[in-house]
Amino acid sequence: MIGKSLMAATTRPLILSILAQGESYGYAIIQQVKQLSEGHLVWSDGMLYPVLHKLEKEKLISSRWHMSDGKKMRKYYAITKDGLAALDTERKHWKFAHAIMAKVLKIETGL
Amino acid sequence: MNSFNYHNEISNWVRQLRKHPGFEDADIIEMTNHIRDRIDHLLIEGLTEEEAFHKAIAEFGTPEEISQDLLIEKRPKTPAALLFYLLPGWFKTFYRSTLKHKFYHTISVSSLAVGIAAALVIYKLLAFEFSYDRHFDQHEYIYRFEAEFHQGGEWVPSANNSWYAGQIVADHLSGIEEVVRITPGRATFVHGEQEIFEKNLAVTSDNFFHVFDLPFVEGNPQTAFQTDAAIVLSRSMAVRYFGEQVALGKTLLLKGSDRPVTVTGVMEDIPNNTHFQRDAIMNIQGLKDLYNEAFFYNPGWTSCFTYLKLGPDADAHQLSAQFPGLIDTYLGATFSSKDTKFLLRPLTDIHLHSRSGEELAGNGNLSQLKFLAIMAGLILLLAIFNYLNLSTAGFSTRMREIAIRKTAGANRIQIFAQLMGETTLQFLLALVLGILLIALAAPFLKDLGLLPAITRFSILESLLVLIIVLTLALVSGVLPASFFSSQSPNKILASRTVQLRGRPVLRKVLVTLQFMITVAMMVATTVIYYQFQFIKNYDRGYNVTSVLAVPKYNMDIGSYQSMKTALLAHHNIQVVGASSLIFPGALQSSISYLTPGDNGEKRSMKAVRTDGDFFDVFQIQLETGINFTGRYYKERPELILNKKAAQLLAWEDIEDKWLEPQHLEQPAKVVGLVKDINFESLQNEIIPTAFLFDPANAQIMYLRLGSGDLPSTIEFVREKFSQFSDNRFEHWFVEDTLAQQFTQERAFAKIFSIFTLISIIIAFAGLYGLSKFVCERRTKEIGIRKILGASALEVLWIILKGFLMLAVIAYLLITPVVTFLLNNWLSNFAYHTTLSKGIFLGTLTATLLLSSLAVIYQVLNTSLRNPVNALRYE
Repeated sequence: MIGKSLMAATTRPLILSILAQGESYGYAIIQQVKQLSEGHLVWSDGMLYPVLHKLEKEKLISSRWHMSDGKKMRKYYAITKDGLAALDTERKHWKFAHAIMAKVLKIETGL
Repeated sequence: MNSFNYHNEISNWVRQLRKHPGFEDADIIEMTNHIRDRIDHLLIEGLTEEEAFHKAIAEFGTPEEISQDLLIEKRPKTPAALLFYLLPGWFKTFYRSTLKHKFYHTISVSSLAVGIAAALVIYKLLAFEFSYDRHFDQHEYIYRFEAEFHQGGEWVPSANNSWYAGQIVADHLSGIEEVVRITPGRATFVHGEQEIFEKNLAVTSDNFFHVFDLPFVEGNPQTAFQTDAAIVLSRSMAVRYFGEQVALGKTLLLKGSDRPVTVTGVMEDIPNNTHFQRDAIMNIQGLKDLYNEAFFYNPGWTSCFTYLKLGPDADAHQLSAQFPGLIDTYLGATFSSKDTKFLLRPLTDIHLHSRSGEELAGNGNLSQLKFLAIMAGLILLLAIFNYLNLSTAGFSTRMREIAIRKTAGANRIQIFAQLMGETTLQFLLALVLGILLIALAAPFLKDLGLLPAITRFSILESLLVLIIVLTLALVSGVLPASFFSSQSPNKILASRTVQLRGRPVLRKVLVTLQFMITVAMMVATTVIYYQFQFIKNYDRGYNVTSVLAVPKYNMDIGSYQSMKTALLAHHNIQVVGASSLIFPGALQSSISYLTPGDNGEKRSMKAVRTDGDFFDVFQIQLETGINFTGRYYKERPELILNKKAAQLLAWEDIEDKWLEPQHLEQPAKVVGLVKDINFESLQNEIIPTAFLFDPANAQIMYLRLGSGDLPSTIEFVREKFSQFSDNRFEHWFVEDTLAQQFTQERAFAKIFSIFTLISIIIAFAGLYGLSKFVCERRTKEIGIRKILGASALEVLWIILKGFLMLAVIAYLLITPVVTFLLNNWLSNFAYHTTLSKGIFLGTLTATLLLSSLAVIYQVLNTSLRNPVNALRYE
């Protein structure tokens, strides 16, 4: 299991990159996170929402209410231009961090 | 069957969620959908409903954690955003706490509202009084050309001046652009069948509207006076004659002269805040018709209110400095700069600063305005003290709420902001209620004659009021808010009763201050009222009851004598006399005289012209000498002096004393001495006065009537009058016009007492609210005392004592100040009442009684309860 602080650091790029693939809603995002991390990143589901609020306030993502399946009002989130830029920055930072860590900790390529 | 229903469980979960701060409805919908999605998913995977629900909830995390994170996310970073974020919450808490503590809030907000309303009304009144004549565009350049005459040892101001003096000044001084004269006039106008007597006319020079811009409804102010015999009517006068028809170009006939006057304009009624109130303005040709040509060259004919409009470069002080020279050079035959001063009074000073009796409309009274301004401040203070007392009382019953909010994560600033916000809201609410109150009080304000002053608030004024109210809110809120927000939640929650050390002292100080203000106002009102009564009932040395006045104008002596004889035939007419004196009013005319052996140095004193029966009509007793009684002619001039005049002349007695009045060809013998009688306002001292026997110029006839039928007597007088005179018959009772002299004083006494009543009510309400708070605080103590055997009365005394002591302390502190201020005020009056011990003792008694009354109900209510319940309290 991954430590709390590292996990917190990964949430932002994770959510941004998921939304970069297309509009989505809370439950679907969580499912995708679980799938991508193959169960290694374990959040309590509810913790997603404060992060979404924060990203929205920073104008990195936007939201709209939409009736899906004809029965549930869902709040859909989409990445904004600023969000894409932020994702790009995150990517660079992670790449940089990864390079250093790989060197220092002698990590083999491939997860 | 499994009774588990996950829909119900979700509702329960939502309820749990709502208990935590940070979740908004939208968040809750989003999260509930999340849980449902998850459950649906898990059901598909084959879990039971119960298992699926518990798993979904477990995965979601606890509401506490999420709420914390949400709060952190939602807390705004900038102050503006903070405000926006906090406002809805404020309103909610404000609304709830208002409902919960409605007793305190009702008292504090409504007394604030009353205080604000009173202060606003007084403000409007003051603003109105200070706005006089400022509506004229050129007000800064307009001065009234006034005079002062040295008479009987003092300088007597005169608002008006002679036509001739105005002419001299205009001809010989530079920098004067326009000279406008206003002469008040009365005339009867005939229009068709209508015949209306107009009392409020002004006869002016042709350039009147060039200097005084008054808005026209019909006609053009620039050209209105280009024709002779022109008249400009006020809108209401135009309606009186022509209804809704156009008045412009119509003519009116001046009764007694064949000359028609043409209406060349209709102006809006002259604004109330103008020092001259006239119904119509005629141009000078009218004046030339009314008066003999010689008047215009007579510097003694001081009946023109003269206004100078100065050029932009002219300096009023420089001009005034040249007046003495002009007086000696051009008016030396009548005046000298030793006994005559001319002066320029700025137009906007007239209403509040001119003290000359004769004016074109009632003048204001600066000292009364000062009283009112102080009063407004004090009433507002009272209301704010109430607010402080009751809001701290209210806050301290909310200590636990504050403590819990703090433990739940609110910081000190948030609590502070919350409390400040509530204070601000309450002040704004009070402002709105106060304005509503003024609107409701409109009929009442009309009764007091204040309505013209209560005009709509301008944008600037509204803004100012808003800023002041907000500042007051800030000032009143900051102390309690910072105190309560700084309390440690642990301490508050640990102790079951909230004891706040230090607060009672502040509260006691505030209550004492309130007592001081109330006592001061009560004493002041009583003294003002007493002074008013004193003036009204002052024995002026003459009896005006049942004295009818009828102007006889310059009726020749023969006709007057015959008319008098005819009138005295009526059984209800006891004495008939005449005098130049018009009650009430300033003594207008004066005589210059020489005393034998005075080396030709002229002096002057006030003069009253009478016939032989004047003193008898008014039942004035002569001190020594003989009256002019019963005679119509004198072989030689005679006069009667008052005692002040004898003092001025340094005469011990009147044996063989003579004066040489300038207007007579021979010396006049002093035949009698009359005691000092005040014919003028009691604010003025009695001045040396000479009564001249001069029936022809004693223009007003006075008749002392008996107790018989008045209407038939007056009808008889009218009948006889018209047999001897072509003039219009006018009559009035001296008593009534004298009473009118006090309308201003009466109105002031009334206004002052009403505002005092308001402040008593505010203070009373505050005390009532506070007593409830004190009782709640001491419920347990009261309970224990009762169990230990104290009676309800003993308990009452224990609490009452605290309040009454403050009242006594306040009384002792404020009495010297009030005594000083009121003595100061009373010294404005030449005749005044004195501050008696009775007034102070009465006020103290009233204060103690009222405060007991305010406290008794709450205390008895608490102390009569079963002590067991009291101890179970909390």
